[in-house]
Amino acid sequence: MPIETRRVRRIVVRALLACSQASLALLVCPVVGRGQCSDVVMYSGRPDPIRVDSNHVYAYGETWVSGDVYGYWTPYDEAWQYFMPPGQDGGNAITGGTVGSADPGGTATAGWTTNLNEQGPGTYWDYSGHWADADQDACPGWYFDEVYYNGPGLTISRPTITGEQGIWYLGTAPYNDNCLTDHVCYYNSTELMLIPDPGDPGPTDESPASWDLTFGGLSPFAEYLYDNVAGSEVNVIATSYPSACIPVSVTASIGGFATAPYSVWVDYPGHTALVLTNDLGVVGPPAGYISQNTLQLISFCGETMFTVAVHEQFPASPVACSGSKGWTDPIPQADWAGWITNGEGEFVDGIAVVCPAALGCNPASTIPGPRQNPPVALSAQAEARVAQFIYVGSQNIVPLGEYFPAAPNEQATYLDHGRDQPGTWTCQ
Amino acid sequence: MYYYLHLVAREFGFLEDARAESPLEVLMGMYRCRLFLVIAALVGCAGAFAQQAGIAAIPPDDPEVYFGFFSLQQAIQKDISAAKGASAGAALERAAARHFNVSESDFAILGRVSNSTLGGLSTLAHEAKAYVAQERAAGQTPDPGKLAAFRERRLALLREGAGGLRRSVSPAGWGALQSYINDRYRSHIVRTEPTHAN
Repeated sequence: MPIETRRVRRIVVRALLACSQASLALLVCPVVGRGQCSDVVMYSGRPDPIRVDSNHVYAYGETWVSGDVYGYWTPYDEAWQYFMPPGQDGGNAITGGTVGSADPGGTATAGWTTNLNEQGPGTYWDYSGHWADADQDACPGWYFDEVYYNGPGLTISRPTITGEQGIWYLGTAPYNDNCLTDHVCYYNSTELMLIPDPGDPGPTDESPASWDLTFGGLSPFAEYLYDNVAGSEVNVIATSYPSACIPVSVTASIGGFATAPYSVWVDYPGHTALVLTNDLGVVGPPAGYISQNTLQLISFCGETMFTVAVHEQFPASPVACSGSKGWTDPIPQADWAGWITNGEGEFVDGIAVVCPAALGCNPASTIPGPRQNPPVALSAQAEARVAQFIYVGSQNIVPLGEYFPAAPNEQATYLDHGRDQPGTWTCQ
Repeated sequence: MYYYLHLVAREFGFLEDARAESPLEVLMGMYRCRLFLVIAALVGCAGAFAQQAGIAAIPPDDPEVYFGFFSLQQAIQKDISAAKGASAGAALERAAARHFNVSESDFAILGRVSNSTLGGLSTLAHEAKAYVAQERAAGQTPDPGKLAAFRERRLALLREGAGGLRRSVSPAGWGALQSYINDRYRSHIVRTEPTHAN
């Protein structure tokens, strides 16, 4: 029923009631003086909503009557909970009206409590109706019509999570060795902090926050540990690497009021890509070359892995390519190199070969073709190959295996230069 | 005529959130008004709308504001007692103290002062009502002077309550409460006058 129609009906009903009761009252007993009956005022209060706890808001409306004959008035309050989602104008009642009344001289209250997680973030307020009815024997015909007001609103946001969103799985390493000297580091864990809405008291030791990790259907590859009893901070640790590039979806809740999902990516070394070459000559004798291969370390999810400690390992001996003219084992098994990748995830892998025929290279190595006189093209025939593993997390060669290898590439040696070829490359 | 009243009511914000009625509903409203209230009643309706639309500002530290605030405290105290489990009640207590920017000990004092003041007012209300009933039973109209005296006693009790609160809580607590009551709380209280149906 429209509010106007309801109001008109109330007026009509009251008028009828007043007429009948006034007629009866005048016959039976004297009424309070008309001037006295009008000497009352109705107060309508709509206090601020109160944030009861992290997940509940509570609001009231109040009605009371004051004046000479306030004791003959019964106050009423009707409350509706209104809600307006973020970014919208206006709002809607999300509850029916609840009515409260009080004995004459008292205060009628009506209110509601809402579960924030169920309703969501937005602005909450009490929309209230206030009226009072006079004792018609004492004050026939007098009434306070119902008046409606919007109470002050309380805007609620969900709690939020902050913290580094990327962590790296580096095998058994809690962090890469470069973290000991450089603040730009790769750790296998990240500290996440739960930030409550400004009006939220937040988690406490007695009522700690709860956290949840989901893995998009994959087997779990991370876990978390509380950093404090209240659970306002946790350490999310990568325990393995994901089989697909899917983030860990992290949610936390305080008293049941949950954050939006927060993504943390667990990534790990993927492969190296050759981005630049520079072939220098060693005039000798014996002649040879130093080839500089700039490699870029790329993660499984396609990110560049910058300022991370890496080193190379060659677990197998080189083998001659089928078109080789006789190189068999020219690559040394010592002096493997280590680097710290630059801001673009790059490092320079040098391949130096000075191998005369007397050491088993037939023909012997030469300076790069373009640097010869007259210049010629670089040799297209690879002499030997070996699998090269770039281990990420440390520059240490001893012990072997620190900490997590990118997919191996193929290090190839030619007569006049050396190349770090992709892992899919094959020598003929 | 009804249309006129409707527009007056809207002008004064009385029907601030009501939706417009259909012409049929308006005609029905006119019919009912004419049938039951006749022209004199309609004039009374217009007067009632005008009266209720008038909103007077409530001065700071008005005793009635303290009455409403004490009533609110009493309602909160009831909810604290009724909360499911001790921790839920304690949470509401802490939340309310935080909401009013007072310590939990000051909030407990506020609850006691509210209950005490409202208890005294309830006793007075019964006394006032008994007096009026007694006069009416005797065929007398209640003495306006005595009714006014009851009202003055009511206001005096409220002033005592406010004074007692000021003396009982910490200075910081009183500062916070007085600020809350006179600013945030008072600003959302409206008073209106009654209507007579004639």
